Order: sequence, then C-alpha cells, then structure tokens
Amino acid sequence: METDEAKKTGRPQIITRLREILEPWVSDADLLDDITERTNMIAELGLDSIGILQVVIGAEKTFGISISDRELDSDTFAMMGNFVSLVQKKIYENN
Amino acid sequence: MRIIDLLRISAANRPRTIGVKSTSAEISYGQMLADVEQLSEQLRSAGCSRGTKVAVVLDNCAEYLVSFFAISAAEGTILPLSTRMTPYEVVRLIERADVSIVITGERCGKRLSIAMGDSLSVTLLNIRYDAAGKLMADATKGQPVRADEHNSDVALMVPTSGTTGVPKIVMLTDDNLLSNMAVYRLLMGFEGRQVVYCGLSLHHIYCICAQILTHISRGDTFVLTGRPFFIRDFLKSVHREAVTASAFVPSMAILLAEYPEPQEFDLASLKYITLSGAKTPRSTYEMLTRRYPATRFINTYGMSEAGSRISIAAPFPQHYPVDSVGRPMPGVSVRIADESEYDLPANCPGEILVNSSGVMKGYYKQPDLTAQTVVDGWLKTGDIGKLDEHRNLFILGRIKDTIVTGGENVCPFEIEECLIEHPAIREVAVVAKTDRLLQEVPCAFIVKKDGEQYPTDADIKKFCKVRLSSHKVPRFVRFLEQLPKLEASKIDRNSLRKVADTLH
Repeated sequence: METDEAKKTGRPQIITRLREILEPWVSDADLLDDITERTNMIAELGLDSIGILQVVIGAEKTFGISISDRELDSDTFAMMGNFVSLVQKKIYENN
Repeated sequence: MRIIDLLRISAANRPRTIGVKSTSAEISYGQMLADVEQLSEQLRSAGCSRGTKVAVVLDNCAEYLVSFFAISAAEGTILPLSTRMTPYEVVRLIERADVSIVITGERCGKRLSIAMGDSLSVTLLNIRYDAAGKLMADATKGQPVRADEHNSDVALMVPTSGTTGVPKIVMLTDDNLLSNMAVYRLLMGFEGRQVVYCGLSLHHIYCICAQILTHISRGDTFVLTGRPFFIRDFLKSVHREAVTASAFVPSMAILLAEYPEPQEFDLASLKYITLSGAKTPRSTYEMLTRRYPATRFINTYGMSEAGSRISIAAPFPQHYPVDSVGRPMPGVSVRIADESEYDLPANCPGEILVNSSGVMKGYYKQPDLTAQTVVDGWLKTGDIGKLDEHRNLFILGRIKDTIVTGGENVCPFEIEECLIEHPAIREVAVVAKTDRLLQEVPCAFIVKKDGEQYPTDADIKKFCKVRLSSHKVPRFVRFLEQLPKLEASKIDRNSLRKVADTLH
C-alpha cells in the first residue's frame, strides 16, 4: 500500500528532482528543458561514467534510498523512465 | 615496421576471424583491413601524408579501430581524444597539436563544428558503419592539410596532464610502441584466442598498448560497447560473449570485487584482468583473487612517456607481492634515485627513473620540458617508488601535484585556470581529496571577490562542466576567507588536502 510520502513522490516529482541533480553533469544544460521519460540519458544527455555516478549518488541522497550495482546497467539509463522506475521502486520499498 | 603492419599480418593469417563486435558493426579481420585501406585512401585524398596529425574523437567502436590503423596506413600521426572531453578541450588540443584532419562521428562532429566556428578550419571526416555493414565516410574540407617531415616518425601523440595548465603532448614512434608491446605480450603469455572487453576509453595509452596493439597482433576479438562502464554490463558480456581478458583501473576493480552476486553469470572464460592507472587497494586485490579464483589479476605500471608499460606482475606463476606492480619488464631499466639523481639502495624510496626503447621521442613543441624530463636517456617519471631486493617495484606516491581520479591523471592547475575565469572568484586552489571508489577526486577551495555573492556549489560545477571533462569538475567546493599560504605566498596544498579529506 502506498504511503503518503510515497504518493508525494510521483514520477513527475522524481523527474523534477533528477533534473536538478543532472544539471551540472550534462554536456548542455538546455537539453534538460526537453527531457521526457523516453530521453536516453547516455546518448542524448551525454552522461559519462562520472556523470552517472553523480546522478546515482545524488538520487540516493535526495530520496533517501540505496541503489545496488546489481540494479544498474546501460539499460537503466537508456530511458529516463527506467531510472525513474528504479527510484520509485526504491522509495516504495523504503516506505 | 609500423603499427599498421600488425593488422596486415593478422588479416593475412586470420581473414575470417571476427576482429570487432561493437554496437555499430561486427567485422572480420579481412573486412577490417579492407575498410582500413579504404579509409586510408580517403585520408590521402584529403591530403594526409608523412607526419600529418589526425585526431580521432570517437567512442569505443569498430570505427575507432579502423580509424586508428587507417591513419597509420596513410603515414599520418594518430591523436586519440576522448569523447568525454568538452568541445573547448578538443579545440584546444587540436590547435596545440597542429591537427589537420579530425575523424569523428555525427554527434561529436556537430558539436565540434559549432565549437570551432570560423576560427579553426580542419578537415572533418564523419565516419560510421551503415546498417548493411558498409563503412561510410563524409569529408568536410578545411584548410590545406599539413605534413610534418620533422616528426614523420611519430606514430602516436598522446595528451597528458601537465604540471601547469598547458597540455603536454607525448610523441611516440612506431619503434617505441612496438618494442614495448612485444615484451608486454610475451610476458602476459596469453593462451589461445582471446575475447577482449574494452571497458576503458581506447584513447588511454594503457589500452592502446595492453589492448589494441597486443590483441590486434594476436588476431583476437574485441568487444566494444561505446557506453560508460557498468560492472553489470561487463559481467553480462563475459557471460554472453565468453570474454577472456580485460584492462581495468582500480575503480572498476572495486566494483568487480564488491559485486553482490556474480554467480548469476558464467564467468569461467575470464582469465586475465590487468590492473593499472593507480594502485589497487590491497583489500580489493585480495577480495578479487578470493572471489574470482579462475581469473588472474595482474598489476602493471606504465605511463605515456614510457611508451606505456614499465613493469608487470608477470610472467606466471612467479610470486609478486600484492602491493607491488611487478618487476621492470625485460629491456626496461628502472632506477630509484634521490634528488641529486644518485641511485638509492633496495627498499629506499626515491624517484622512479626509466630507460628503455619505449621512452618517448619528446613532448610536441616543448624541447625544454623534454630536456628536463628525459635526462641522458632516463625518463624522470615524477613518481616515488622503491625496488625491493628481488626488484619488485612499489609505487609510493608522486612528486607532482597531479590528481589521479578513476585512472585519469588531472592537473589541478587546469581546473584552477578554469575557475579563476568565474566572475565571482578571486582566488582558488584545487587539491586531491581521497575517494573510496575513484582513489581521488578534485576538491576546490575558493575565495570570492569582495562585493560578489557566493556562487552555489551547483553554479561552480556547471561553470566547470561547460569547459572541462566530467572527471575534472570539482566534486567538492568550499569557500574560505583566504587560502592558507607558505612562504613566498605559495599555497599550502598539504594543509588543504588534509581539510579536503574531512569533507563529506
């Protein structure tokens, strides 16, 4: 059952927070204006290994979650929606 | 002999063997050589001749390997550049290295064209494999292409972090590279055909020697993804493609050592992982050998100026201390010297000096710096180390202020030069902060200008990211009233390093 906290952190809210986390690490900050769930975070936003590491650390801190290396591969970042789903799943598990 | 000859020999011996499996193409050695010859003809048509500098700005892909060898076939000089670099960094190096032709892909090509504007005119060659596996190359002609008879023997130019913000470019000849690779390959003693996973960017000199030259000369198969490194992707590739060998830096080794349940993958094929770029923590090394008993983890030490490899913990099954980087390779003389360059006895720490046929021709257009770095044939590495009584080499630190992060060397002054351009910053010092995964990360201490607002942490990072590669962007930013100084107004970097290590 969804808790109040989990409900407050819906997908649009997660994307808004991720946009802030992503901003210093994308090749062109203007690209963030048009991000959707289908945005490829590697090919389109140009995230490299360091950028991905910072986004994962940033998401862990922001949402109070812990993400294992078992849950991360290139498919996770092939679409923004995949990473959002992972974050959402982790928030639910925490609650 | 030139490096292109390695491919020619392998293609003659194994024309049907798959040379590269990448997201864009899967090509045999026979096709790879045909594509290399086609691209080298296009390079010659574009004006490439002896000593013409040709930059390659591509991810790890089949097109990268084809470009690498096509430049050698066209007698040009290869300048491999990371796609992680910002257009600003690429343009700076293109200017500094007198590059005439840039081989790149569509996305990078567009960014570069915008960054170069009208100020710099090079010939851009966009290449890609189409869906039918045919190599396509479109040239946008720039200014006339330059030859360089004076440096016509230079096969490869490698940018390396300087002791100042000015980039240094190491010049290596075919002889440097081939002599070094031949000994390395012999010591590794690979058994049977290898399937090689390239998780690091192939512009690294480590990968150029330990992967490209070594495995092309053996006719082995490369698995290239062109994506950032994920340990789970690596394990999936080992399982699916029966990967046998790879080259790691310590951050990758830590991820592998700590991966929660590797037994979900079949890793029986994985025999060789070399470790270089920085010192792998002892605990990580021990965890690796315990958790992956079928794999050999081989410490090796090298640098661009040495034509790559200096020492290696091979051949097997000799014993090497876990903390060492093996012994100097045959043909590579290593001395440990004090500040006056007198030899020190066994187990005494001093600067590591190297003499071998792999030592660079010099730094491009920096004869004074070359003369200071290579003295009477001995390369001053700037690293502190010791040799024990069995000639095992141990790396203990470095003389320079270089930050080593995730296997990349970063000059703090380059980051400082970037930050000082920020309108609110009066003074800045960048130092290394210890990091569990990446060994070190840049940490910036900033004094703001009077009357200016404090920029936010995110502002500083964004400002840097436009100009610098991600790994150079300070991970930590702290504002101070003033920087601690030693005599002669020199910044006290040691005390800043101590402060940096307390930050979270």
